[in-house]
Amino acid sequence: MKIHIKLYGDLKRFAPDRENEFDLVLPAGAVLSDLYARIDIPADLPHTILINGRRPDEAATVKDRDVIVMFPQLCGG
Amino acid sequence: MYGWMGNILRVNLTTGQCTRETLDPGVARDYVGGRGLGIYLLTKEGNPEGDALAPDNPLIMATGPLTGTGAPTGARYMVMTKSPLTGAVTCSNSGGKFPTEMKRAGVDAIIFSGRSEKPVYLWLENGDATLRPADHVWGKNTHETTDTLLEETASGAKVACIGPAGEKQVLFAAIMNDKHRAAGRSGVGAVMGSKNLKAVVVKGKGRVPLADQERFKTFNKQILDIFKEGVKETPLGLTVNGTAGVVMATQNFGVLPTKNWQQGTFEGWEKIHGEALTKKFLKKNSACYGCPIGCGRLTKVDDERFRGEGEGPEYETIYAMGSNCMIDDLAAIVKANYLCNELGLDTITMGATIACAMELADMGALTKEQMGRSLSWGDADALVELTRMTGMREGFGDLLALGSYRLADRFGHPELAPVSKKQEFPGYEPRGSQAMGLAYATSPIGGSHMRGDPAYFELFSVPESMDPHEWKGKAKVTKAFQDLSALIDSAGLCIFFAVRNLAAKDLGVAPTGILEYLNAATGADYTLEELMAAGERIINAERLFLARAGFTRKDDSLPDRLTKTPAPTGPAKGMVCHLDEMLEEYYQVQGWTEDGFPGSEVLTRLGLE
Ligand code: SF4
Repeated sequence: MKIHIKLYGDLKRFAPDRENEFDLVLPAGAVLSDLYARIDIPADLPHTILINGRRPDEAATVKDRDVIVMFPQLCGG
Repeated sequence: MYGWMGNILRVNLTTGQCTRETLDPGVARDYVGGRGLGIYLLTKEGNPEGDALAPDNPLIMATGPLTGTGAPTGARYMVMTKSPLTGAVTCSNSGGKFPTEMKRAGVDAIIFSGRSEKPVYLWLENGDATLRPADHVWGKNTHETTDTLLEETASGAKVACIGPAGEKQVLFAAIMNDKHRAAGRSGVGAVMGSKNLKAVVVKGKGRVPLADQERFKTFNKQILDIFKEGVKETPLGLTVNGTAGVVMATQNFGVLPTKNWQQGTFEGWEKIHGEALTKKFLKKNSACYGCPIGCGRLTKVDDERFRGEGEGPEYETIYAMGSNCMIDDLAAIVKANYLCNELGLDTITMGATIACAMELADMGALTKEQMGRSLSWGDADALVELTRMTGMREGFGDLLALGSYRLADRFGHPELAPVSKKQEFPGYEPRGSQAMGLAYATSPIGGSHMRGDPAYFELFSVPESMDPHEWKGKAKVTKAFQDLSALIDSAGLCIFFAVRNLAAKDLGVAPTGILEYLNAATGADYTLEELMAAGERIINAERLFLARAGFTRKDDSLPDRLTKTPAPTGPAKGMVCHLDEMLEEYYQVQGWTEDGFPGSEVLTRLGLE
């Protein structure tokens, strides 16, 4: 299955080919840790991950055509 | 007194008399300073039932005990008065350099009362206060006024002033300091204008005395070291893109208010995002006194239509003038922001009022004849021109000068105004960020994010992530953030530093770092419980002011658009904001009655009976 990833801010440096948006092919039934195994963001780097606009819990599975957004810590305006 | 200069300056504009009074140490301890001191003084001297633009409404400028001490972001002051926009209290807060200089000039707070017959400004130098004629700067914008007054006072002085918008009493006029910093919200500039007070110019050599220098220095170093370590590898988003970097987050959470709050996603968001601002317009960062973050943006626009130079925009301005108006032309937003700073206008209410007018025009409730022009969604030229006309109260701008509620009401659709207590919301959509709705509805100043900002726990995961779509269990943490914000605003700190660095995550954002700073600076020797009670005291004192001004539970409200109409797009699609359920829980957590009044038990505990 194919998912779409968007990286923002400083996390862009973890994108392949420096393109902040890219597709990733994962085996069906993949979970979040499978995704992290493919993108090299260090576990201790504070960031937010959204799957289709929602914060997933740790055991969340990823589905075909999910849109995954990741960005570093922010605060308001 | 430590942490304080020990003086309150009283300026009677009717008689022209300036007198000095000693700051009561007991009051300073119970109310911390800044916002707390402001509500104490306003309660004592103000008239909650009166007309905000009448001479008997005092205008109070109050610094905090950490202002000017060198504590990181200890740079702020509060402007407290009764608001002409809402009829409630104001808590307009600003940083820059002016507040620190005001303290160095020898006063902790200034109370302006009465009304001068002719335009005047206050010149305060090392404790000496005089009122001087200001006819020659009346009508001038905030930049020209600042330059002129610096020339005739002293170089190195700092200026807070109003522009034409404040003089003409636009209901959301700001008080600008250091040219680009705004005590922006709720029309504090209109109150200043109603008093014929054009500016306050301060200069001083004083140093804020600290109770325990060593303790202060040691803690300060510890806090700054932790901060620096945290940003060593990855700079803070706030430093890189300013608050404008939040556009990306709110868009992806589906809470970026768009099309006058009809929806929470905006197709053109990438064009108005902080990265675009940095790439196209940023000259360099700017910082308030003693701030290691530097979220300020010195920007320049070369585009011929919108040429200019200045500071901004912030995230809030970008939402209000951008997505909310369906405008994706960032140059126009930056230009309208410059105009707001020069004319002295609040950017949030300005943008939200224009968006509301766009919807009224779109549905035919406002005609071309009534506006003297056409107006449609996404019209960047209209944004800039209407902002100018509002600041000058020209033509249709004279109606926009009343804010969105009065405009929409006049044309038969009050439900289209994105307000609580008649003040426009900042840029977080409550249908996809439930606690935000609760914070807007219960904020003492009406729509605001700075009086307890749930975006921290709903969007930014501080102290921990909470599901933004869940409404249950949000009351307690919203109250904790409201109490924390009261302390931050009272101590003289900036929320952007204090929430992450001076509040204990594992204790539900208890103000542990603020406690240590305050005790080292003032010697007040607060316990954590006493300090947290002071936060509650401030919130409840404001609530009492509102009650006396006639506010009841029905004013803790949101427009039906957010509570009855399901969100049409984005991750929150199909959701409404569950305000009533959250309010029920919230009043209980506060110990308030069903009508939203502070209960007698709370008042007794906080010494407010
Ligand atoms: S974070 Fe921004 S607003 Fe706050 S003190 Fe620093 S520069 Fe000023």
